[in-house]
Amino acid sequence: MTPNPSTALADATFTFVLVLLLLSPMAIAGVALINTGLGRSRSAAQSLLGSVVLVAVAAVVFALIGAALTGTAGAADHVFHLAGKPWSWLGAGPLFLRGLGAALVQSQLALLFEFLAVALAALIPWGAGADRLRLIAGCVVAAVLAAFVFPLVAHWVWAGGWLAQLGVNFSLGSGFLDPAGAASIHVLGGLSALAVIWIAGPRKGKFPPGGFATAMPGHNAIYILFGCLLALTGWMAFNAAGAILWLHAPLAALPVTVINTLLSASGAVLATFTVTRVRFGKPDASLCANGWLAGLVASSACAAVVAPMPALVIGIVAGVITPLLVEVLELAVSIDDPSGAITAHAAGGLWGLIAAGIFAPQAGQLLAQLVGIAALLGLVLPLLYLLFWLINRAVPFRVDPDGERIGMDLHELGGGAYPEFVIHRDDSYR
Amino acid sequence: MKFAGLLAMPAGFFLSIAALVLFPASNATSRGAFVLCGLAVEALGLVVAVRGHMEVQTRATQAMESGNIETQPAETERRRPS
Repeated sequence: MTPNPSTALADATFTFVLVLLLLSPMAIAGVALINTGLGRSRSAAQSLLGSVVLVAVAAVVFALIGAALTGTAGAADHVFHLAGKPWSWLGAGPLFLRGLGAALVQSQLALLFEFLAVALAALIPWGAGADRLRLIAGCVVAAVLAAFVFPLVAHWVWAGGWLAQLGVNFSLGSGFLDPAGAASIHVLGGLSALAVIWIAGPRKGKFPPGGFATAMPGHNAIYILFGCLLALTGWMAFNAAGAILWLHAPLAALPVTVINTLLSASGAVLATFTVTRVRFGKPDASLCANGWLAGLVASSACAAVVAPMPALVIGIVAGVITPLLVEVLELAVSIDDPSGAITAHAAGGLWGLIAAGIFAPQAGQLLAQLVGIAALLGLVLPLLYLLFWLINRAVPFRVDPDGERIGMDLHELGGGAYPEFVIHRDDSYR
Repeated sequence: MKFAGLLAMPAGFFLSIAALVLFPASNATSRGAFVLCGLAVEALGLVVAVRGHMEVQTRATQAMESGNIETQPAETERRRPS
């Protein structure tokens, strides 16, 4: 491959974006640590090994198929015409990354961003299926996400698809705004998590007959909270890189984007801290981590398009919603989501997308955001459920009862993450 | 019931798309109302799907109580979510 002169980006900008993208895997590491910490100790090794394997599967499948279906803005795509307007719904790039070396530098950086995005999206349902989702099923879910569903959404949002063109075709602001993947990473991942949970069912003992949901606390608060700090670095880099790549923001605008990210996360964690302190008498570490994550996810949609004070407000709202929604999902709706993926990623992302529409200065932006949300909920969620339901027929998601009893580490890997520790039985949660 | 809810959700999506196609940009109120109606249909579909999920959950719990499937360990009732 011959190096390509940077035609669309100045050399300084190119270097800056590349450095930001090299920092972005911190977000993946943070989410992997949070997922592992929120699971049980007897499934910790399987959870973290699964995160590594899923990132690998997502990257390989995206390189083989997904990148072609995502396409790039202005390149070949699948279009149909309705009401005199073009509706670009899927990319039609070359398979197997052919011609990547000759592509524009900006396209190469965009592709790198998408690689990291698909890896992060694949980890979200994995965390939600902790303690009962088989590793092979997680790999198949990641492969399906990377091959078909993520490219579909990423094309709509980032590669000149119909959502990105809402501004040009229907005078809706600047089109659907999602510079750092609130929709294509987090809402997609959160909805995948919901579909996985519906199909796999709750952990054994989570909803006992005739009683309330059993508390199954995460096994390692250190992993969870260190994961939060690690994720902050990755998120700042993701948001800044997304602002340059998808919104063509100047370098001078990036400090505000990064500050907004920090403010959103800070507002969210303080709000969650306060809500859990009031509701339970003491702040809850795992819910605070979910609040922090929800603030970061909300910032993915709006950090690059709002001012600092709105970013803080957006974070606070995300932080208030998070503990309440976790409680509703678990106690009222019987959804067992160990990592809080539906709340932090799906609900946080949806709130961020709406907030970007509310606080963005362009007229019609809110309607563009709502149309994007309608597409995610109305089309992507049923599609995900259908795909996962079919996969579950061939590759059962849920481990057998014996595997769940002895733990995923022993059952799938033959050894635990903490071989010198005593592993608690279910009875110890009494 | 879960499938019925999931089938209703694309109807809401197409309602939102119809708003863009049917109403010109100058008629922003009608457009907005139509898109919101589409989202409302999706929300209804989601509620039906969730209710379906809860029904399945309840049936599984009842089966457990009657001893049809492996009994889960007795747990204390706790309100604080994990």
